[in-house]
Parts: sequence; structure tokens; C-alpha cells
Amino acid sequence: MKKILKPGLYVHIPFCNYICPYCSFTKVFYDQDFADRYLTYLEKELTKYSDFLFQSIYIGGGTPTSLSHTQLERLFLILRKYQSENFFITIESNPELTEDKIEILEKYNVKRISIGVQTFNEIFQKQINRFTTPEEIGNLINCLHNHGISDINLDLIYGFDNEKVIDVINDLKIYTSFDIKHISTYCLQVEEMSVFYNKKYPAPDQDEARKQYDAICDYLKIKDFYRYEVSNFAKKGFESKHNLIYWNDEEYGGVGLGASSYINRIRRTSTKSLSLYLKGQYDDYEESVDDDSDKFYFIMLGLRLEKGFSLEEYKRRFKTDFLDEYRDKVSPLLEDGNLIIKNGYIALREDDLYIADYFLRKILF
Amino acid sequence: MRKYSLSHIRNFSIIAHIDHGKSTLADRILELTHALDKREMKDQYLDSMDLERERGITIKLNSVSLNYHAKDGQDYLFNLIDTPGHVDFSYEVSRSLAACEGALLVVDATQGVEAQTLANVYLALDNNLEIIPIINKIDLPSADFDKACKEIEDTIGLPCDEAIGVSAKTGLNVDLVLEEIVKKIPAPNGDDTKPLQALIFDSYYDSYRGVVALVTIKEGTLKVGDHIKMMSNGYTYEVTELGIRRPHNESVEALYAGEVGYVAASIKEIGHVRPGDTITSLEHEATEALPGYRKMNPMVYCGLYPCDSKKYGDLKDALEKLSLNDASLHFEPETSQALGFGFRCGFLGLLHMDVVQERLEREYNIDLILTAPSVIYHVYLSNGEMISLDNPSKMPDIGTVDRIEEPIVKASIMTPKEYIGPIMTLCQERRGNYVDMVYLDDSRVDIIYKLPLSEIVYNFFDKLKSYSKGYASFDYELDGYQAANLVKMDILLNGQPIDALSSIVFRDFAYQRGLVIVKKLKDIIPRQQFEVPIQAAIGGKIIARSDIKAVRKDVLAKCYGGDISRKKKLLEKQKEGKKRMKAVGTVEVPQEAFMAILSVDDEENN
Repeated sequence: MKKILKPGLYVHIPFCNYICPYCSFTKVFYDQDFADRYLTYLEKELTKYSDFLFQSIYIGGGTPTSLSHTQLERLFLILRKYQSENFFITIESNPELTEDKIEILEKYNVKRISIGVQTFNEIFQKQINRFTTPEEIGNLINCLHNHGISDINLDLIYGFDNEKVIDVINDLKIYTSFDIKHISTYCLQVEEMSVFYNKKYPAPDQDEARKQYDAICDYLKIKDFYRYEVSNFAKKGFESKHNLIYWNDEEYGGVGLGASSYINRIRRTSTKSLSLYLKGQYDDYEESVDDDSDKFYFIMLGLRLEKGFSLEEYKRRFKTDFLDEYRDKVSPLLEDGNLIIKNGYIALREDDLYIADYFLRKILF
Repeated sequence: MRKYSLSHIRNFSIIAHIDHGKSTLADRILELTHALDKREMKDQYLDSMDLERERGITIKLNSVSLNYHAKDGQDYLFNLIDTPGHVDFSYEVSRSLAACEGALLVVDATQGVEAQTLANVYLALDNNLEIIPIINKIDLPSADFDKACKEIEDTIGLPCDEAIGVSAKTGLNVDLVLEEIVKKIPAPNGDDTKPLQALIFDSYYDSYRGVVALVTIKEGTLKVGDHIKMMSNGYTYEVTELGIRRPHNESVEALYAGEVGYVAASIKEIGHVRPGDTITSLEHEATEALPGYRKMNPMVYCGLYPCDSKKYGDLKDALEKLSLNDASLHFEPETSQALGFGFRCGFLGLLHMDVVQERLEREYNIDLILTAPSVIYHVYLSNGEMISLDNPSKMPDIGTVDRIEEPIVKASIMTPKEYIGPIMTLCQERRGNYVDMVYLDDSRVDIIYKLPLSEIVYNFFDKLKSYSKGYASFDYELDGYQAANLVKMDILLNGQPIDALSSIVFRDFAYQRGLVIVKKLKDIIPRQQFEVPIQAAIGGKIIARSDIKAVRKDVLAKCYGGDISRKKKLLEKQKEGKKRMKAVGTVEVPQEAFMAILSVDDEENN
């Protein structure tokens, strides 16, 4: 039987060697036995996609590289059945990745890696229990290049308590001294389910957050990292293919604890309970997406992108003209210059991307 | 044929201060007369509105007919007409009292007589009711039966040698109360054969039966099929259904003199049934209407606007329906530049205002914006003309004004003596004039002050409670008008005066108030796309300013696969929050902003 091609598959590995206090994702401490059983149930869950082949596979966490050498290999073998011909695998990793694991990544053709550095500032590192040095990361990046993995992203967190623009720039100086292609930024959010939330860690106020964000945009532009989404910066041609699937409102599968998927107009999120998951009770939340909510998602996600969304694509998907349909809401914003039409795409003005939700509420409701 | 002879009917109500146990006592009476089986019994049955049960207060009066098999072996018909306990609702109280011959005065054995109770007792005495004193909560260790009796004797002059000590909670001695009702409360007068006079004491709207009137038959007989006439306006209807509430509606063929029940006559027009009016029948028509009851005038006015301007019509319908059984609610259309079409509504007090707002929002599902409450000022113009001003934004040009007079109340504050100091300070801060202080006994005093009404509509009661650790009680009556140095303060958003935010303030307080209001508004109004100045001005002169900042960050930093459904929900939730926003020009102003002027005192204390 011929299999159906789908754009993306997200694979969640919830295990970590240490827990970051800002993290609100589904995660547990690594335990070899749990991890073995987890992979067994992950393999079982994947059979729901036995008719599909995926072009992009993203292995996220938790810390996927906290799996043992053997377990990592097993994971890639499980995934092999679901890879399309020109598959593209991305994996998230902590800075402590060792060469023997890099060899496995190379062996199974992992193309892109995203490393959770977050910051080199020692004061903030202490607050999040991370102690990586620029030297260590430099060595890791060299090692990855040597094994043919050159599409590298580093994560950056800004907005720590008392952080100043100068601190962010100092981090970025180091980041951009490496041979990397992509930087994901993340303004510290103190979310429920995180240690910071329980400790009442102060979230940055919006004026300070904006100052730092503007500095990031300006600095990275000089360094040839261009912003293509609210929080994501890349060298030309090295945007995250997998994440663009989300922002273009395309389909993706999802397996693993708390993973989300959007297939055949259904958005699903798996259970966040490891004990239920290890009993094979996967599903938790489900939302079927009708035309109206599909439009909602399409617009909401598309306007996060610097270039916005294609008016042509909108017409193709929904058989209506966006500008006609949303005339009342959109015309004043076009007039005031908050929305801009360029090359058939409609987008928020550069300066307004950081207040995108303000305009989304005006357009969508 | 009538089931109960006139001599076997007792119409009574219960007078009590909030929390003194009126509703609990009513519950016990319902139980003892087997009106409800255990399954149906829920606490405070007569408080049928959710709002009443939640707040533990009675707002709407309610009536119930009960059969009591007395110790003398005979059956009596008890009509219990419930009364609200709060000062704002004394109108309702006077209505229920007019339908009764007697009242149970319930006093908490641990608290003694409260100011509010006194006010209602006087109303009852005015109506020549027989009053039975009952001391409740005698099961509590801190109960002092003798002290409570002495207080009743001292303050009201009601002999208490036969007062009954009960515990409504445990049911102790409630049976004695029922016997006393039979013995002490007179049977109603009235004659079945006389022309019909039925007093409407309440009404409500039922989608099947139309307007239903609750009546007490003072004279004559009312039968199904009778043609009735409302004596105040002459409208006539044919009676389709009569019944009594026990408490379930039970239809009957006729209501006789002395009885209490409901009348349905396919009345669609709400305005035709006015509580206080008399119903008579064309078959046996009375020439004279019964005296209505003491009419209550609104003390506090505010603007009431739908958040969604399309709901203006719904709000109008809802107000009409509410006023049907809340005759003290006044409203008339008004227009605000800032808020669009709405109503200027008059209330008996702030609690009344609060309750009406909540009922409109809950029962009629209309999101509302209220402007800060205002009292009625008398504005005298230089040409001698006088304007009654219930809306600060309508203040005439200051050049044409000779003087402004404001309503003054005489307030009576009863408190344990250790709180005299802080309470007098409070009254002084509120521009009060000391009148008198009377020692009620060794430990309690009654402090009399004259205060501007406008100073007590602003959280005076809350302050009083906190200054006296909850012990002081408070009652007031209007005591005329008095000239004062008052000015209108405008609030400007983006340089435009917002009529709904205008207020009238005492000149000496204006500067401080302006600062606080402007700061408070800055905190309440969310950031806007552009910076917006907020200014306070008196007669064109800016006295305070603050700026609402521009929104700088309004986006989720990360939005990947798992965040997408969550993000949609988040936007929808934020949108819900916006529902209570009103776009004033280009500025989105939340509902609380219009009430900000009210709570400035909280700010001053910080």
C-alpha cells in the first residue's frame, strides 16, 4: 500500500538529567527502566501513523539526549519506518552531549541540532542550575561540525531578574562567535508547573522585556541573523523547517508524553501522565477544527512570521478572499500601517511583531 | 366556602437584623408546620434568589401560607410574609408590614438590638402591629437573654416579660413561638361580603401566566372568573388563576378576606400592576382604594449602560421587569457621549444598587457599566432657578451658578464605647457635624452626626465596620439640604473630557482626589497602542495628570506545536476580558474605571 506523505512528526522524550526551574514542559528525571518502557509504548503509539511517512521529524523534550547510547539507537530504529525518502531529523540536546552520542546522531542522519544553552552569564546560570562555559560549547560545536552536523541552533533566554540590555548583548557576542545557523530566543515566562512559579521568581515587566528584545533584533541583524518569526533568528536559508510547519498551519503528527498533533483537521494532545502513558492510555485533549477555527489558527500563526501569510494560500485553503472577508477589521490597520501587504503576503509591521496579540485580538474577534 | 374562618387566620412577618437568624427561624417554622418534607428542605428556603442565599441576606420579600395545628386542637392558617433586613430595603419592609397584623421581633442574644432593627420596629409600630419579642441563639455560650430583653425594653419600650428565648438553629422553643402567634397576634379584620379590596404587596413576571400579583385580601372575596380592576389606573382583567403559596403554588377557587395569595389574569403589561395598588372587582366594586405604603425616594443615582450597545433594548426590558417587584427602582433614559445609550437609575442605597446590578447581569445576562453613584444636588442659578442635579456631567456652566446645596443625613451610629474615638475621627474626615451622643447602657453609645450624603455613599459603611471591628451599626435619615463649597471635577482621556467620569467634589478635597483618581485610572486602564494622558480638571484648569503607557509586549514568546491550542484559548480568554471594556474614543476603558472614583479612599490609606 502506498503511504501518505505528511510534513512533520514531533517526538517527545520527557526525560532529563536535571530539571530547569523555568521549564513547564512535560518532563521527569531520567530512569533507565522507565525510559526502556517508555520507548516500548512510544513504538506502540506510533503505529497510529502506520499509513504515513513524515518529511521532518523533530525529537524534543525533556532532554532527548539524556537517553542512553543504546536507547538513542533504539529510538532511531523505531522512527526509521516513518521517515520519508528525503527525511530531515532535528534533535534537542543539552550542552553536555558526548561524542559517542554524536556518532549515533551522525549514523542515523540527524541534520539539525538545537542546544539548550540559554545563557553564559554566571549569575543567571546559577539561577537555572546550568554551568556551561563558552569553551565547552565551542568544543561541542566543533565536534558536531566534524561529524557533519552543521545546522546548529542555540537557545537563548532573556528577561532574567535584573538582567540588563548589556547582559543580553554580552551573551549574543559569544553566541555569534560560534559557527551556528540559528538562534531561538525566549523571554523568560514564569509559568505554572515550573519551579520558578513556585518560588515566585519575578517575571520581567514589558518595558524591560521590550528593551532587551529590540536590542536582540538590532544586534543579530548586524550579525546576519535575520528575524523570520517573533522569537526566531536564522542565517538565510537556515530557518527551522520543522517549526515553519506549525506557523504555516500545516499538518504534523505527535507522539510521546504531552505531544500535540494536527492531522486531518483534528488537534490532539497526548496525556501528560507518565503512568497513564505507560498503560497505553495516550489521548487526553482533542479539538476538531472546522473552517472557522482553521482560519483562526491560520491567521494567528501566519502573523507571527515576519513575512506574514500568503493571501493566495488563504484563498486556496478557504475559497474566500481574506481582505474581503476581514475588510472591517483589516482596512483601518492597513490604513494606519500596522498591517502591510508586500509581494502577495500580508504581515504586521516590523515594529508591531512584539505586540502581535494586540492586533490579533482586533482582527480575530 | 372558606376553609379557615377569619378568626383562624394569622398574618405576620419577622423583623430582624442581618445575621440575627430570621431566615433560619422561618425554616424551622416551615418544618414544624410540615410545609415541606425533609427532602425539599434546604437552608433559608424563603431566600429564593441565588444572590440572597449567597450573601446570606434577604432582598425580595416572599410569602408563604402554612397550616398550623395548634394545642387547642384547631387548625390555623399562618401567612408568613418575609421581610428584608437591610437599611436599603426598608421600602420592601413597609410593604410586607402593611399586609400583616403582627410581627416577630428577632434579636440575637449575643448581639442585642441593632440600629436597623429599631428602624423596622418603628415601621411596624407605625402600622399598629402586635410585636412578639423573640431572643434567638440562646444556645450560644455568649448569649445573654436578660441583657437582650433589657435592651428591647430600654430602646423600644416593648415589655419583655413574655419574650421567648429560642434557638432557631436547634429548633429549641420554636413550638412556643407558634403558640404565641395564635394567642397574641390578632386575626385580620375584614368581611367576605363587602366590596373587594386586595392590596398588592409584590408581583413578578411568569412567562406562562404573565404578571402575577401577590395580594392580601383586606375586604371581600375574589373568585376565578371575576373581572378585576386596578384602582390606580383603571385597567381591567379577568382572573384566570388564584392560589396560595404553601410554599408550592396551590390553586384555589377563591380568596377570602384575611387571606394572602396570588392572582394571575393574563396580564401582559408590566406597568399595569403596581405594588401598593388596590385590586377591586367589577362584580362588587369598592369606591375607595386602600392606603398604599410609605413611598421611598431614591437616595443614590448612577448611570447604567450596556457594555454592548446592541443590548440597550434588553436592558430596558430587564429594568421594567425588575421594577415590577422592586418599586423603589427608578430609571429613565439618558445618553452619554462616552458610553452611548443607557439609563440614569435611582437606588435606595449602594447595596440596592449592587443587588440590581447583579440581578441584571445574572438573571438577564447583560454585562453592564455603572458610573460612579451620585446624590442629588440642588444647584441654584444666579437667575434664581433651581436645578435638581442627579448627574454630575449635567452641571451647568459655573459662571451661571449661585450656589450648590447637597443632601445632609442625620446618622445614628450605635457602637461599643471603646470605638467612639475612631468613629468620630471618621465622621470628622467625612465633613460630619457632631450633634449628640447618648449612652444606651454602660457599654454602648448612640453617636449622632450630620453628614453629607455624598460622603456616606462612598464606602462609609465599610470603614465604619473596620474602625469598630464590625461592632458598630448605622442608620440614617435624610435631613434636608445645605450649601457647600462644591465643584465639578472632569476627567480627560487623551485631552477629551469623559462625561461618565465627572464627579462633584468638595473643593478642599478636590486636589487630593484628582491626584488619586488619575493614578488609580492609570492602574486600571490597560496599556493602549499609544500613550494616553489622563488628566483631572476643574473648570478647565488641569490639577493632576498621569499617563497610560503604550503596550510594549503583547505576544507569546514561544509558540510551537504544543502551544497552539493553548494560545488560541489564551486569546479567547483575553477577548472575554475585553467584553467589559468600553471603547471611549480610541481608548479601551474597563468597567471598574467608572467606579474608580468610589474607591479612592482605599488608595489614600496605602
